[in-house]
Amino acid sequence: MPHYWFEAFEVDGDFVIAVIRHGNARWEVAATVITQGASALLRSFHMQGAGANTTGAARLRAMALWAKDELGVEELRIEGAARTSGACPGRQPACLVF
Amino acid sequence: MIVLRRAGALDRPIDLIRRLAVAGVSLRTAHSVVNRLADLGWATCPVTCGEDLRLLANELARLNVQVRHRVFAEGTPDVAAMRARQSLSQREFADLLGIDLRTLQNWEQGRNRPDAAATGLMRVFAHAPDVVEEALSEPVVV
Repeated sequence: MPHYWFEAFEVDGDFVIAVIRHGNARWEVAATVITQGASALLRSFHMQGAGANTTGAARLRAMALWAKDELGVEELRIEGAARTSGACPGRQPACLVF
Repeated sequence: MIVLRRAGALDRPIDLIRRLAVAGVSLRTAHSVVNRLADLGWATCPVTCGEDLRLLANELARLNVQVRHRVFAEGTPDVAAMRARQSLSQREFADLLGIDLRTLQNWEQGRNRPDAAATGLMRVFAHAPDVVEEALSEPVVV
């Protein structure tokens, strides 16, 4: 089972774009990163790259748990930006806590 | 400054952030622009003057974003013509805009010219007079 890994980062202050790989799969994520103690908040989070309906809740959870370890935090909160595509564009998704 | 308008699903929001960065916008600002596009459907965006807007518009169109550039009025707007198109008297037009009749007359006769904000308001009026009327008045509660 291949592992996730960070392939690249682009950083501008607290805003980060990261490229995540898992085998042949590749995602790009972008967010404003706010760390508070042992907690990290990814605000206005965007994700692209794996194609429609390829990143479900289980995959996102696995990725988030891995990212939590990588970032060395006990809690990872993801506040998605308003949806840009898919179901209900413009809707603000609920905050996910891992 | 340009205005971006969402023309469909933004399937590649990070490509959009990167393309705006190539146009001279910081990544953080580009992120805010994309967030506003997702939220409101449009956003203003500061791009460098040297940017080829036609090329940018062509590339952003592939990302379902329409590029609109700010229209700056050349010279003095033809206030009298704008008013006449709506068949308004000077008094009616001045009252609608909430300005002094004398000010309007000075504009129409070229003694003074409206500032940028007033010119913008008149451009909106020329484009959508009903919107201006509705925005600047409200129904009397009965």
